[in-house]
Amino acid sequence: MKTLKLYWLAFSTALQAKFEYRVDFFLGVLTSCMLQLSALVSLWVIFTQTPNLNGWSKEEIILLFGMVAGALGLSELFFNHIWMVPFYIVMGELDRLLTYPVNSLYFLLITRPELHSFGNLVTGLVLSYWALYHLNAPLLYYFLLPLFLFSGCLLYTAGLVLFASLSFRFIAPTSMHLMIPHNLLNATRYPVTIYPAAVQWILLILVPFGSFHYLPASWLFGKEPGLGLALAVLAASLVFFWESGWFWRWGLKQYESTGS
Amino acid sequence: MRPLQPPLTFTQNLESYRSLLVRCLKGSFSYKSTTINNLLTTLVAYAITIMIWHQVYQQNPNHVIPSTQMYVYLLLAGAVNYAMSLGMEFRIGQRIRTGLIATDLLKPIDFQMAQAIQSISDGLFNGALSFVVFSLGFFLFGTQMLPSSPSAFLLFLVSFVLGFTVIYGIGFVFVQGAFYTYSGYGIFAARNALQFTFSGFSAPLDYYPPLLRTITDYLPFRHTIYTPVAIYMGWVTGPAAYLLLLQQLGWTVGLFLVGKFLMGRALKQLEVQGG
Amino acid sequence: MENALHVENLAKSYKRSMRHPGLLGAFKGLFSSKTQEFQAVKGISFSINRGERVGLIGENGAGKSTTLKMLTGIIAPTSGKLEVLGLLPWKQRRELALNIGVVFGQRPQLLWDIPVRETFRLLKAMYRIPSDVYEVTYKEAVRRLDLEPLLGTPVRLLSLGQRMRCDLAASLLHAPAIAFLDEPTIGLDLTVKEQVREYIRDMQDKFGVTLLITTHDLKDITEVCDRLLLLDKGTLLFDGSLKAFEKKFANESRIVADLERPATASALRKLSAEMKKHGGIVTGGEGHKLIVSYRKEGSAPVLTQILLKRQKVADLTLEKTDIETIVTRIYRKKPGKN
Repeated sequence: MKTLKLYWLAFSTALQAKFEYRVDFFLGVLTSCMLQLSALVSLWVIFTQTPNLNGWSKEEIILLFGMVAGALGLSELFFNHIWMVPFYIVMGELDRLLTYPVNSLYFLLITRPELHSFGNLVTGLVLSYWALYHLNAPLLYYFLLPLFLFSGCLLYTAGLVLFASLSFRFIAPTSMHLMIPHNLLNATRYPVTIYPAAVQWILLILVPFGSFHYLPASWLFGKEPGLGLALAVLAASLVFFWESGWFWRWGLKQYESTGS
Repeated sequence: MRPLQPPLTFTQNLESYRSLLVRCLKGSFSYKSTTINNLLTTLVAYAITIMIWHQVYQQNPNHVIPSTQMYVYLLLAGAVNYAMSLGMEFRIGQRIRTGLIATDLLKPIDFQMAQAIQSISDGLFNGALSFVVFSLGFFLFGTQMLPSSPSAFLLFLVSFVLGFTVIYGIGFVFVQGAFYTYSGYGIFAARNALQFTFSGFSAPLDYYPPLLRTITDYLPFRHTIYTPVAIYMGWVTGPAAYLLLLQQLGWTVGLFLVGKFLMGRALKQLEVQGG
Repeated sequence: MENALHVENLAKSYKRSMRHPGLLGAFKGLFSSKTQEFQAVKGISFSINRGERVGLIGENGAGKSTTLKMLTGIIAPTSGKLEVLGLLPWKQRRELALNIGVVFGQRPQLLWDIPVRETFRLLKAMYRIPSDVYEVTYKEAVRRLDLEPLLGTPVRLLSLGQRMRCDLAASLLHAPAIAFLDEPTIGLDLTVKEQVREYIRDMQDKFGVTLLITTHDLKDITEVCDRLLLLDKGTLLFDGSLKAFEKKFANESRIVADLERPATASALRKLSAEMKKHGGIVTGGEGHKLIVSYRKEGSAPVLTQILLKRQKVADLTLEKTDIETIVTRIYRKKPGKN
């Protein structure tokens, strides 16, 4: 309980610091909305050429878009600090963190919320609920949606942690390689069945970003997997998130032996 | 006492630009893992776009643009886009925020020119790598990757260079925003979003709905990717192609002048942070 | 007395990648890179008891920071034994962290964009500082370091001196068992340095904080510490009290005299001969200035008497070599310095 309180204090303090820059906030929200919009434009262009994508309608895919944006927004709001890790490693800035009596990964994650997350979060919620409304989804689904977004956020963050931990071993001064999980997440804005089998395997099992919205959505549209599988994703995301800590510790071990 | 130095001559200026270029290039080379990451990441993104379109063509192979041409287009657009990825807003934003911009402005070299040199360095480096992406296409699509004609290839090269000057112009205009907002990333992301939407990066403009198509016509972004690639594919030839090159040139000059004007205004109100 | 930390044959080596020169070299670097091993710390041993005040000095690159990082658990040693407060730092870093305070003079921990007070609040929660302890340490810091007017200001608006004061306070808020202070006075002006030292001394008195200070300003050591570790190229050159250090290295004192008129050559020769009998050596004799140096303690009165008898002296000073002079001399004398 005390630990949770500490994390909340750390988070709110960091958020307060971020609000010092008002322009950043508005610009960040604006640009994240623009980026979402540009992805929607691609979708629009694709649908000028085809009435459906492997059996998925425009509205159905917009639901996936919305859920990805929402999960992304949540991760950016709560766990965005992971993007700074490669810089910290190069600059030796992790030293300070390591002198604190807290779990270094969780404390790091929580202490640098990104304000443009609100843009993604709002776009995500608007798109998701808009799609649900147009698809006449059952009420239960409206309530479950935040849970699915949360599990998506955990899955995506775990993927980022995994990739960030690699930078301990392969020192690079930019966080470019974190774009790989980011791009994979973006790939799941489209139903994973359109990809070749190997890619499906990666997106559903290896780095299961594809599962948190694809499975629930499939259940909603009666496409195949049922509610049980959709809920299992929730549990899986927690496990995956927890496991990412292993990679972090492995990375820290590298840091300990190389120093700066 | 040392006498006052006269302003640099043209050749002296060229010399300092040359040494700056070499230094920038060296900087690009020094982090191999970044480069490899960068390339890998980009390839993942392109692969996704191509796979999505592959699905569209599998469902219905009859479109205005035949499937192989479509893949070639997307690959080429990706390669061109990679060559034109500038980190200018990011870099300058950082320097404005930390106050280091002051040292840049005190150097005896024109700021806009120095940025151009850095961008050329980025372009040369990324261009070389984008060639890798491009050659990948020959493995996949064989002779389909070849330009429609030798003259189309020459025109493409010219258009490619002009496309680069256009993206530089756009970037430099956007950078001015960083002087007011102190946020390089935000500006960079905004420019990128527009670039993705209106350049023809994710699909040929021919497929755009009419409304969107009209908007792209009034913006410079299409000249960075769609114009050179369409010339390469042979979709535009003869006088129409020359007209496009002329438009590219026009945008280059216009954006350069606007950038210069905005820069002058931005400097007037610049307060160096952290000083 | 209780042991605070114990180190035996502690060593650390790094791999450094070597870059090829020139543009072509940079291009080569894309595909290959050679690494070279570099020994930062080469097997040092010492222990420190609870409540001791120890200064760790050495030139740049002597291995001070590496040692400090190993002691705080940020990096793991390559070999050797290491125990801090009965814990293995790099394995039990978090347990250790609760009981130590760390200042990196060059890397403040304060949050950049928000008032200092907020950082303090966060640290109170993080270190689970009981209110009664916090009450004391917080008030002490505010009083000793004049923090009152700074508490509400965002850190980025503070001057370097103000920031350092706040950072030091932040690191000692939980009255840790050991404080590792890495250059706590770097870049500060003299009055602030004095203030900082006073505060450290005070915290040591009140809470028995064990101090390990690395610094380039020897005054930090002479005014706060009573024991000295001298590191040189990764080895421990000296470990002992300040007194012992002076005794070991400062075995030379000098009498500097201003003569009314320059001594003649023959007078100088006679003076030298007599001085020698009592252990004094005339080292400088040009013009009005005359310097007599000696090693044996307590020779000053005799040598001064001889000098006053032989020459008309306008002024006279006795010089004992202070630690600063000794250390400078040690650094300078070192063979193979690059």
